[in-house]
Amino acid sequence: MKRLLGISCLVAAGWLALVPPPQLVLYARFTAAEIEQVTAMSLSRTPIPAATTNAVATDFDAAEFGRKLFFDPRLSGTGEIACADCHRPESGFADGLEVAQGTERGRRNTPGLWNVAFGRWWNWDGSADSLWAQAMGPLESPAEMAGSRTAIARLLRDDQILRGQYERVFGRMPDLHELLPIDDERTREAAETVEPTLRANVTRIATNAAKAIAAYERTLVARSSPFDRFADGLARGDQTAVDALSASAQRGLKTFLTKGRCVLCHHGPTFTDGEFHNLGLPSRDSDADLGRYAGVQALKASEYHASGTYSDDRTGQAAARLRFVTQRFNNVGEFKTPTLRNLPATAPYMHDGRFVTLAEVVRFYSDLPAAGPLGHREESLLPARLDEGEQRDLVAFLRSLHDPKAVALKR
Amino acid sequence: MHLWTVLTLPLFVAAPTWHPADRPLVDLTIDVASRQVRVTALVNVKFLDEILGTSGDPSEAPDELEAQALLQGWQTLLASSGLVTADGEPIRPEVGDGTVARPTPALRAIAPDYVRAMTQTRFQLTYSISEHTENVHAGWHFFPMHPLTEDQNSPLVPLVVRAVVTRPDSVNVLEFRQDSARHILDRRTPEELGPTSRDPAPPTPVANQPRGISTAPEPQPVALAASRPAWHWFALLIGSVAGIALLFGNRGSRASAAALLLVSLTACTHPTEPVRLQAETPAWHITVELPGAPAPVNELFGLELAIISRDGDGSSPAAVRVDADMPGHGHGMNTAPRVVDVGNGRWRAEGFNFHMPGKWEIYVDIGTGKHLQRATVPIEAR
Repeated sequence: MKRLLGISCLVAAGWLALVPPPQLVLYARFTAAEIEQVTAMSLSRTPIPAATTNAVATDFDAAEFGRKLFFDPRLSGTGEIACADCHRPESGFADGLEVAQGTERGRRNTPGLWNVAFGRWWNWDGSADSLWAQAMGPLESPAEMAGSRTAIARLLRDDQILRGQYERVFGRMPDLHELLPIDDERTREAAETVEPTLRANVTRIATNAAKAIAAYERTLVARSSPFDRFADGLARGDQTAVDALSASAQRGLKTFLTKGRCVLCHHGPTFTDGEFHNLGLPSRDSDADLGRYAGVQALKASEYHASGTYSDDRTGQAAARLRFVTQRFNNVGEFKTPTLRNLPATAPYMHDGRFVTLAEVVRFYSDLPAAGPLGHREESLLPARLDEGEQRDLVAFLRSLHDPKAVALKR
Repeated sequence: MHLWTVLTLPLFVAAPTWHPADRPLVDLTIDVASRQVRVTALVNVKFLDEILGTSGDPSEAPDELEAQALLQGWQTLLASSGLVTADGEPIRPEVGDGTVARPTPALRAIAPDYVRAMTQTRFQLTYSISEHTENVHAGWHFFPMHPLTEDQNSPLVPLVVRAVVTRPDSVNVLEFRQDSARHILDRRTPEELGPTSRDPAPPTPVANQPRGISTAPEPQPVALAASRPAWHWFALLIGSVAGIALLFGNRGSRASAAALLLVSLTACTHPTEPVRLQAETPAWHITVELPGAPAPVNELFGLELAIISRDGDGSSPAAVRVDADMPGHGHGMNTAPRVVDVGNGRWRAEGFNFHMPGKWEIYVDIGTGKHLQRATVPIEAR
C-alpha cells in the first residue's frame, strides 16, 4: 500500500514536471516582469480595504439604509437634490457635466463612484480621509446640497420609516428635544451656537447617516472588466479569458506600461497611486484652484477626520495616515490621481472636466503642452509622443477597464 | 547668423504677480552675441529674513519701505559675495531694481500666518563673461525643507543654484552653493551627468520610427508560455519528497521529509526580511533598517536608525530628522515622517509612504546645534 502510494506520488510529480505550460497567444510582447505587473492589477481578487473609522461599513442594514438616503432629495436644503442627482447610476455614478451642478455651479468635475471604497483620500483635493467624511461634504456645502446636519437629524427623527432603519443599525436615536429653526442652521458657525450636547447628538446622527451612505457606496464594486478577465487569464494560462482583451487594447496596455509611462501614477488594481500630482494644466478661471494645498488644510481642520470625535477608530491606519500628512507649498495645483476604471461612463475628464473624450486626454499626455503657472508640474511628466495608432490603442485599453455588467442596487 | 542659440526654460513668469513657488527660482538667460548673462531670481521673504536676520509680523506682508530695505540687503549681499562662473571667471554682477509680489487674497485666507513668509522679491543680476557659453539648458535652485525645524525652507540647508550648460563636446553643470559665501562650481561630462528628468527624449521622426506591433495592419499574435502558478511548484515538491520518503524511507526519514516540507512551506510564506543599509556623513555612521527592499509602494512604513559618532567619542546627535525624495521627479512624499529617540543611539522613524514606484532617496539629517549633516540612502520602491 505504502509502495503504491509512493509510486503514485512520484508519477504525479513527474507529470507536473514534464507537462508543458500552456501557450498563450497575445498581441503584444510583454516581458515576464510586465506580465507579473499586469496580473497584480486585476481587481477581481482584491479585497475592499477595511474602513475602520466607520463601524457599520460592512453592515447590510446600514447599506440598505444608505441606499435610501442616497436617493432621497430631502437631505438637501432645497429638498430637490439627492446624492444620486450628481452621482447618477446610469452615468457611472457621475453626472456627465464638465463641473458639478448643485445649488450652484461648482468648479470641479463630479467623479464616478464605482470602486470608490478602494480609495485612501476622497475629493479631488483629498480633503476627506474616509468615504463617510466625504459624504458629509456635499450634504453641508452651500454650493452642493446646501443641507444641514440639523435638518438631516430632524428628517430622520420625524420620518418613521427612516427612523426605523436608523435605529435598526445605530440603536436608539439620542434625545433631540428642540432643534433650531431651519433658517438658522445653514452654516457651521450657526451650529456652534447650539447647546453642546444637542449639537453633539445632531452631529452624531448626521455622521451616522453619512456612514450608512458610505456603507451603500462600498457595495459599488465593478471588478469584471475585460482587463480583469485578461489579467486573471494570464495568471492561470486561460486563452479564452486572455482573449477578453482585444488586440488593440493589448497593444494599448503595452504602451500604458512602457512608452506612455502612464503606470507611474496609475498603478495597482485601481489604476491610481491614490496621491496628488500637478499636471501643469492651466487654470480655467481667474480664481486659481489650489487643489491639494487647500485640501490638506481642509482635511486637518475637518471635524469628521479619522482622529475626530465622530470617527469609530481614532488610532488606526487612517488616523496614522492623517498624522503624517503635511501641507507643503508644492501641493499647490495638485489633484488626486483618478482611477482609470469605468471611464467610458464618466466623461468629461480631468479635475475640471476640460476634456470631453478619452482621445483628448491621451493626446494631452502625448503632446504635453507647456505647463500653466500654478505650482510646479510633476517632473516625471514628459511628452509621451505617441503616434496615432498608439493613441488609438491606448484609448482601446482604457475602454477595456470598463465593467459594463456591474450592477448597483438602485432606488 | 549665430552658430549658438540661447535656450532658456523660464521657471517663472517675469510679470510681478505672486508665484506659488515653495523655493527660490532662477531664470538664466545668456546673450551669446554680447556675452551678457541675465539672472532673474525669485526669493520668498522667508529666506531673506533668515539670511539677513530680519523679522516682522508673520500675518502681514512687508510694506513698500521695508520691502525696499529687504531688497537692498539682498542686493548688497549678492554684489559682495564673490560669484564665479562655470569657467572659473570672477564676475561682478550689477544688481537691478527689485519688485515685490504679495500672496493672492485666496492664499492669504488659507495661510494667514505665512503672508510675510510667502511675499516674494524679484530682482535681476546682469554680468558679462569673456568667453561665450553656448546653450543654457535650465536654471533652477532651491532650498529643500529644513530637516530640523518645521520650516518648509531654510537657508541652514545650503542654497543651490544649478544650471546645465551644453557645449558641443561636453555638458557642464554650474552649481553655486550658498554655503558660508563660498561658491562651488561643478563640471561634469555628459556621461557623468546622465539623463536628467527634465530632458525630454529627442523627438524621433515618425517616418524613421519602427512602427512595431501597434501599427501593424493585421494583428500579429505572439505565443507566450504561461507562467507556472505557485501551487504547481508546491505540488511538485510535495509529490517528489512524499514519493521518495514512502518508497525508500524508514519512519525517521519520513518524519524528516515531513519536517523538510513544513520548513520549506514556512520559508515560502515567511514575510520579507528586514534590510540594513549603511550611510555616512563626515561625523556620523548611520545604519538604516527597513522592513524590506525594495520598499513597498503606497504602504505606510517605518524604519529604525542607529547613529554612531565616527570619532568614537560616544556623542549623540542633538536632533535627527528624516525625509525622502524622488530625485527624478522633483518631488518627495506627501507625508512628513516623525522620528522618536528610543535610546542607545537608536531612533525610530514612522510615516514613510512611497506613493510611486521607482528610485527614491531617504535623507537622514543629523544636527548638532546649527551644524547639519545629511546622509542619503538610495532605495528602489516597487
